[in-house]
Amino acid sequence: MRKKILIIDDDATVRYTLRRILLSAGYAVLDAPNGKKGVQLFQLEPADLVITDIIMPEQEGIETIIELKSREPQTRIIAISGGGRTGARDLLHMAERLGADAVLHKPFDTAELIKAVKEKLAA
Amino acid sequence: MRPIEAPALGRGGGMQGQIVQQLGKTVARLFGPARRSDKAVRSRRLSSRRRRGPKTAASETEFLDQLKLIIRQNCGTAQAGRVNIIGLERLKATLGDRWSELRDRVHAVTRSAIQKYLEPNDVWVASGDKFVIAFGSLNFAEAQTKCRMIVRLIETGLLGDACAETISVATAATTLQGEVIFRDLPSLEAMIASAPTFFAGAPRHDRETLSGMSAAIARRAEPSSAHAVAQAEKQAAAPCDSVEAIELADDEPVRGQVVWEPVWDARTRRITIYRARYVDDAARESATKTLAEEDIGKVDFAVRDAVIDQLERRVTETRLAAIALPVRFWTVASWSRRRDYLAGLEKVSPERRQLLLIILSDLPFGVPPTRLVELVAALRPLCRELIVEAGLHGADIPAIAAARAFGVGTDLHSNEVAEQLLIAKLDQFARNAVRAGIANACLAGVHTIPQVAAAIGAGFRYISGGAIGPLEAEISGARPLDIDEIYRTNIEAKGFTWPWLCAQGGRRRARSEPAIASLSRIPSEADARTV
Repeated sequence: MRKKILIIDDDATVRYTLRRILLSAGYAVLDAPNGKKGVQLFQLEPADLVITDIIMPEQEGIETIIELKSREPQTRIIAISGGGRTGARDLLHMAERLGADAVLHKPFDTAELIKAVKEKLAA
Repeated sequence: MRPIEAPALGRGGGMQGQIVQQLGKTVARLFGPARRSDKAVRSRRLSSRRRRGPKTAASETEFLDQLKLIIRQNCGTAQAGRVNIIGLERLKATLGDRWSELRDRVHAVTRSAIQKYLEPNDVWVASGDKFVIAFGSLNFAEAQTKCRMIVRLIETGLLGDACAETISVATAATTLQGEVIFRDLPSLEAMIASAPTFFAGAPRHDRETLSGMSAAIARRAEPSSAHAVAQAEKQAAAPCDSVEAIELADDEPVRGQVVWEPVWDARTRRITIYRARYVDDAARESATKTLAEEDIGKVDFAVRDAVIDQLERRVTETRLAAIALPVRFWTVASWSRRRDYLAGLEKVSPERRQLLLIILSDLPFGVPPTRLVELVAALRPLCRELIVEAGLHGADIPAIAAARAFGVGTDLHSNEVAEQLLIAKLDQFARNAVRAGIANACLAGVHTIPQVAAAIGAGFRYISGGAIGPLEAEISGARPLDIDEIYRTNIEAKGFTWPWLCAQGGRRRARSEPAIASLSRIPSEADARTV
């Protein structure tokens, strides 16, 4: 059975790109445009791994990590952020301290992403 | 000349095109179409002349564009009375065949008269036989009186007669739905009688000139013109149809109170500044935009006095924090009000000034860089640093950089943007600040955690708002505030627990401690001590 990955990012292009990469790598993919919808989707269809952006409207990534972990502590989470934002590193450090299993700073390449996904799903 | 009303906007075409069309019709009705044939001659003459602010339009379209720019630079409205048009068509009719040989001299006298009276804050543009003047730092009565004085000088210089009334002058009375509505100016004597403030403040030689003129006018007055003067006086005394209709009485006190908003330094992770906020009785920030300009000034003066009082008291404290004093552009745009405003700050000792930041806010869109430089230069010596607040669009950032402000800020209170768009706009704003060479970007009015994350991610250095900390009745001093703490307080307010911070050795919130107060409640002394 294919592992299920939930992508949470407000940027539609990022969601589309990650979806293509992960589908090609053989994973089932769900996506949501912000943390609030991501948590709702997770409750309907729990995922094996969540990849979440940090800076999003309505509910941002760190709140989302806390909420997901409080509902399902075993959830594996990869936090992503950056894209030219100068303060993104601080937020990624905080995400890691608060429960993210890995962090990726945008821009990252496909190999980096697949490696992180495989590591966390295998753990 | 009876007042001209601009026709209603039509339904076809874009709004911009409609405004140009209607403005063109209005101006054309007043003065006729611009003459195109003199463009080359004017260009050659102007290029060899040292300019002091005048701009010459080569065509009617350019003239209208420049007129719109002047109006936009005056805070987007005609700012009743500040935009005036001086027209020479009546004089041209008087001179008849001699106009062609006398035109250059007439224009030279007109330009000289305008330049004699204009200040650096004023802008004027000439097109054909009409001159548009926008007074940047005068109120309604002052602008109109000055315009009439300019006209008298032109008439005296050309015809030797101050009462010739051969120069037409109209003032923009109000703007309605993008249309500029003009009306005639009353006579100079009527305006002098009704504008004692300006008359008292005028330079000595002008006061003598004015009193001499009014005596001459009185001596020459015929019974019929005496009636006309009386009519004009009545018109000048009538309330003008200005959009600035709301006004507090002179002795009406400013309601509300000044409270203190903690400002977080994202670089040092500390609360280091407290921004003064004026709130009304319901503890919400006063909607001062609906007040008249003079009353915005009253609020700003009250805030200034509260800040000065705090500075006097804070110097002996051990946990020193800087105090940010916001002042609106229109409070210091007028030279007389600026003088009064700065007089209060000049009494602050140099030692206490090291704790004072000034935030210049409410810039009109497209503010001229020279104007900004002037204001920044006037304010900066009286504080430690100066921050200029711009709209979230960030269009004024280059001008702010040119004025060499310490920082550029924006306030989400006055920028209603959907959160989906806000993140991109904040990124763009901070990026524009960096590109312009401004090291410190400031964001006020942050109320939610996504806004905090967006501000930190974008690189804003100073962040304030309900999500950072509640308003305080008394300044509690500088203190460390980690990013975790900001998140913890806000997330716990939503009902989530924060176990991970405990695992890292962080403080766990005791049951008796209150949750973060919303902006709508001023915390009591007990709350302030607990926080």
